[in-house]
Amino acid sequence: MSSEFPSNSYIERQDLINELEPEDEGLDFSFVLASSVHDMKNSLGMLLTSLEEVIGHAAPQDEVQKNHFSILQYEASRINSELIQLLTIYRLQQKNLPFHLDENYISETFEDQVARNDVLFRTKNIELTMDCDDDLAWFYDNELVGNVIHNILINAARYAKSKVHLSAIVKDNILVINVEDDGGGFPDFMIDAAVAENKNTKSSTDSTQLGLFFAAKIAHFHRQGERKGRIELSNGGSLQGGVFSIYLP
Amino acid sequence: MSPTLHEKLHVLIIDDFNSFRMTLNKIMHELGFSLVDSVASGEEALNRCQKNHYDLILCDYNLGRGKNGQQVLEELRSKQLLKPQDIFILLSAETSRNVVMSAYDCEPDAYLTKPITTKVIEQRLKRLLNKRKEMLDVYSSLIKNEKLTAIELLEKKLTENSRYNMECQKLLAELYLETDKLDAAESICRSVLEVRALDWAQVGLAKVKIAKGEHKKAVEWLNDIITANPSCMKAYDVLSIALEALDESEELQKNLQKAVEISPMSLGRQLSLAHKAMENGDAEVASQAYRKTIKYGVNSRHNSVENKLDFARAVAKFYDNDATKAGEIAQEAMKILGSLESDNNVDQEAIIKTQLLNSQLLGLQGESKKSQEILDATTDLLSDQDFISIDIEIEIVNTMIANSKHDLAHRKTQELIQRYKNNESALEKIDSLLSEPISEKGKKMLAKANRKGIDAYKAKKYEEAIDFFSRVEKRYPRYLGVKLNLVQALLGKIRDLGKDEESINRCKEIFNIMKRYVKAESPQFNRYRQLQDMLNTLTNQK
Repeated sequence: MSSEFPSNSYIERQDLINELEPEDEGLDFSFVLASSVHDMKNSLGMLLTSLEEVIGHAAPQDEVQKNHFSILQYEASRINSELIQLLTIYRLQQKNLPFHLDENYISETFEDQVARNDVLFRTKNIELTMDCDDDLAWFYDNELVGNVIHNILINAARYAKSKVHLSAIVKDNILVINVEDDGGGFPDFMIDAAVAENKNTKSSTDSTQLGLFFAAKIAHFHRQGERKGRIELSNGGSLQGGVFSIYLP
Repeated sequence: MSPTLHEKLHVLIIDDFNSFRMTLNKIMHELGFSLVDSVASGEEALNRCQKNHYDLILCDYNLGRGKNGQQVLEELRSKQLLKPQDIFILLSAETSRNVVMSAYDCEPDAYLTKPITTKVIEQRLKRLLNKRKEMLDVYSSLIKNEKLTAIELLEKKLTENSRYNMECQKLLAELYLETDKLDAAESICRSVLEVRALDWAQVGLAKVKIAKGEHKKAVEWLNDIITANPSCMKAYDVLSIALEALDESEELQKNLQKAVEISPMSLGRQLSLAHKAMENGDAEVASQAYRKTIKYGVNSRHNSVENKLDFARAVAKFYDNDATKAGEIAQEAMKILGSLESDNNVDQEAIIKTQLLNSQLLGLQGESKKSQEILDATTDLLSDQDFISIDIEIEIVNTMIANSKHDLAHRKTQELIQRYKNNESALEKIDSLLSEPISEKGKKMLAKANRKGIDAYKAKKYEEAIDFFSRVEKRYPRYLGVKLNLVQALLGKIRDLGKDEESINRCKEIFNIMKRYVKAESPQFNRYRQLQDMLNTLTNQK
């Protein structure tokens, strides 16, 4: 397998270079960065698959080992999802982001993200629950909104003590998706930053807020008439921890 | 998942990585599928599918050197090896825009991004198989081509409020259109659009307009859809149909150019662009589009010998417009011609064309000695043959022109005109060599192309006339009459609106090109001299 790595990532990187082929000859730094982010993301994807296989083959012997596995799993997922975010933001900036509005069942979007993070939550001993009408359908880009939920879940996995809860309802013709945890809650500056993102008053690409920036941008992409999607952070909720909400008209 | 349900389903895994194949294989067995095959390349997959039928295909996008997942899917569809109820899942580690776009573009049943876990696959399969089960009666009637039955079944499902409502509506709109139930198609699209501006319903309405013959309206709507959502590929395809019907070749080319920029991996569109641009005389765009068709289409059905030859032809033609830029891609065209020569599957006729095109490109690059050697060798080879096709004859003349042997080319062309005087389709091909079209179709096309320019000229709208004639000139760079029309419009402008450097220089440039091949016996010769005198008089006036 190790001998296959370089050739594969080379091919995929070539694809990206074709995609991004700049008009003029001079390469700009953001292009170089995007193409290497792309590369890293692919390698990490393979690493995550192998890791899952390792965990599948050799169940952890004791708590210490289990803890190590969970750290590996968490950190790798986190880097992977941050890289996806970076690429999406790059494409957003290049006005190059594919956007596909369709009617989706929210329960299916949830199931996909829960399945995607199954190993992570199991190794961390966090119970992930879901509350959503099976027939509730709404209009959004499944890929993009799925990625937002994925990021929030990974973040929640870090701060939750033992529980994370996903839920969705439609209220006043707006879909509200909530991700709640039983952790210590969001600090005030994060809550303010979410408000600022919605108002577009500042564009924070500060590392701790990259996830927020990403989520807000994806929410904004969803419009219906005069209304525009938005995000919100708060504390409390059913688990008395942090609550992330995304509103899609 | 209940294992019994899946026992009878045949599964095919396509991935070039052994470890992924094994992982997927294991997952599928765990999920209760027992008939699982796996292959490492798209080519093997197509072979397998020709022999066996698979109900479920899991295919990686990137399959190494051969076909990619999109090409496998396209080919399975074009060979009709997929039934409506079969499930094709595209997997990819890629989230690059090209790949995501092409994944949306070729519409697999699901698109999953790696890393992929057992849970993710289980989840998705459960849903896809449920949908398959519920829609099976519709699919069965579609296989039997019983569209009316399928429509009835779908209408019934809609009244029962199925979980797959949206899916049913989409399919229904499609079937209404196919069976010419246009009002029903329109009303279903409109009812969807009342709730949300979904692109398939918008495009559906435009299709209804086309079916009703209201092409202009359709064009207007489709342009609006594209402006609002530039990644709606269906809209470009339907717009192409409308523009083709309206005979708006230039708008059509522009539309295709936009579409391939957004989804460059779609080779069908890339190839349509190449053909259309060639037809429009835009050799630059045509050569680039052929280049990409061949480059991205390695091992696909788009990688045909004819496309490769067309690429070389487009580059050779590009020399008529811009020798410097043409020179930049001539090397690549010659490399591809080289690969054809060493390919055992290429027939004799194509080999000869390959050599002649090679000789043309060398001649155009100023390598006349090498060019002549190849031409001589090919002529030798042909001397043994009883019959030489018109296509080859034309390439021979083009090769002579590429080497500036205009007298020889002229004689040979006259010979061809004599030999084929009763063969309209051969004459249409010969048109490309002449300074005046000779075929009926060629004459009509030229007359039509010139008409707008002539009308503008008569109304003394010189700028407009110049604009029209410039486009025609680009399309038929060898037709003398068109060049003279353009000069006449430019002179009209100079005479009425006063001397301007730019117009004068442009006239001089055109005369420079014309003097290389204008002949005293040409029917346009008198006009050529008159216009030249006029230019001299006008430029010498104070």
